[in-house]
Amino acid sequence: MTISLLHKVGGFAAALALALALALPVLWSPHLAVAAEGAANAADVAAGKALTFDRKKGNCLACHALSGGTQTGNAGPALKDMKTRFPDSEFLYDRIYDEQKYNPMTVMPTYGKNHALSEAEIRQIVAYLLSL
Amino acid sequence: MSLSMLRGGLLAALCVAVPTLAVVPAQAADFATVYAAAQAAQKQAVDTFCAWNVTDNALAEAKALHEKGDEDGALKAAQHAQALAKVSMQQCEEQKTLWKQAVVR
Amino acid sequence: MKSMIAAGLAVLAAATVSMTAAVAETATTPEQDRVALQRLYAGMLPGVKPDDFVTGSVALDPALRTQWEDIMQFPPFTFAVDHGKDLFQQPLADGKHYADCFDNGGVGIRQTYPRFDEKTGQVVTLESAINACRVEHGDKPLAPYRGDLAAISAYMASTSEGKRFDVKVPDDPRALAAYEDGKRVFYARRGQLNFSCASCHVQLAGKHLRLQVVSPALGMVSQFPIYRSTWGEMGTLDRRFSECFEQVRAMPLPAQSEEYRNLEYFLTYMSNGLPVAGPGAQP
Repeated sequence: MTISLLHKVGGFAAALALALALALPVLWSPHLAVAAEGAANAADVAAGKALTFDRKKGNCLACHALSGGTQTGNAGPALKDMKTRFPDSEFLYDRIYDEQKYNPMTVMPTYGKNHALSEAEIRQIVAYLLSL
Repeated sequence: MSLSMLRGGLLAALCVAVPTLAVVPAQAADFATVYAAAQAAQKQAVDTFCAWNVTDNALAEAKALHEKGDEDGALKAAQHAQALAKVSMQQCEEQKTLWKQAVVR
Repeated sequence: MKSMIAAGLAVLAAATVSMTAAVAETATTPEQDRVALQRLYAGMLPGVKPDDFVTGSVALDPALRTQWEDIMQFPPFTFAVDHGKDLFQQPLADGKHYADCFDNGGVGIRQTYPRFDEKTGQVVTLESAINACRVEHGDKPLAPYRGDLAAISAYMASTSEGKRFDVKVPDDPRALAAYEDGKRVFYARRGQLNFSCASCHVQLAGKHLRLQVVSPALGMVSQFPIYRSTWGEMGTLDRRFSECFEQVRAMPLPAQSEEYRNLEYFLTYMSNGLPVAGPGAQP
């Protein structure tokens, strides 16, 4: 149907609109939103900290040492110098979303893939972690 | 660029966009349908020993919100339950072979 | 950033290769699995003497060991053992006794369970054998997680003190299939947290999750049934399985389901050669 319509109007505008329509979801992707907002968003950082510490949400302290955290576990690496280790916030987002994709033997929960955290929640955690 | 061409272009864009929108959980989807689908998916997961306990929690939350009259919240919880049941089945399917890579040799 | 992504991709590629290699490898025998697992723990936790693995995380942490020694001054399972002995000696509905259902009158046999039953083609755990005995002699089965069943099992385990686990996988394809299924249950990821039993009890053995020291899978079954301070009472292995399932946000399986029995079969086989230390206590 789309193709026949394109043929009928034969226009450059149609192709342009089509390209835009296809590109829009990409432009709106959460990854780029993270980059756009940056880690400086204080509200996100605060919300992210709460999620990181919450035992029913990120519960990151179960495995990771973290400045300001008590009773932290040692199953995973300490969460520090995050900006140096993850200059690309998109990459950090992906690791929290589905670490198994990068490391099949990981013991880190696949938070995004398994809907343990929403995309917005992971973005907030990323904002907080990059402030460490 | 003529107006008709532009209109044609917009129409084409709509043709592409509409099916995409349909995939996104529509607000109009009714609670009863989504809740029943989520329940059925979870039953299948339970029967195949693939179920997650959080799916039951989400179903219970959906039911409670529905009874309180919070239709938006109830629908969201039911959709969440349905998504959880689906991923739990997917995990189970993947693990039918993937577990072998973890075996200590 | 580019280099990190490249590194990530390299890891992914390497992992994909090793995954393919692992899946393509031929199946190992139960004995090869046991030797490999015991060797792995010896390397991971070199300070732990082989027999000490039966005390679980207590063997890994001096503070826990002190707590445990305090608890063992007055073992919290003593009452369960006495109660279990009483129950064990009482006649069943048709006048028969538990002793009639087991080898050697049920004394000193804990280390031979689970067993593969060639008649049914199923794995029989000590708890399922106790309940089968009750049903055979006109009584109702006992509830699976705690109470009388844990008490009878505790008493029977106490008569095997110091004996070493000697679980057999007979030369029968059904027995090997049950063992393999138990191995799958142990290594398959489950639950929203995407953990397998092995994620914690192999990969993280000896590490801390919050303040908790993760116990190794080796020797894990040896202390069951067990008094856990978090329960404040005795519980069976099935109870612990179900608790673990809940902790990784999976739905527990039915007690004494085929999967749980097969898992116990696999786990106990892995502990062959270690002493029976049940009933036990965990701080």
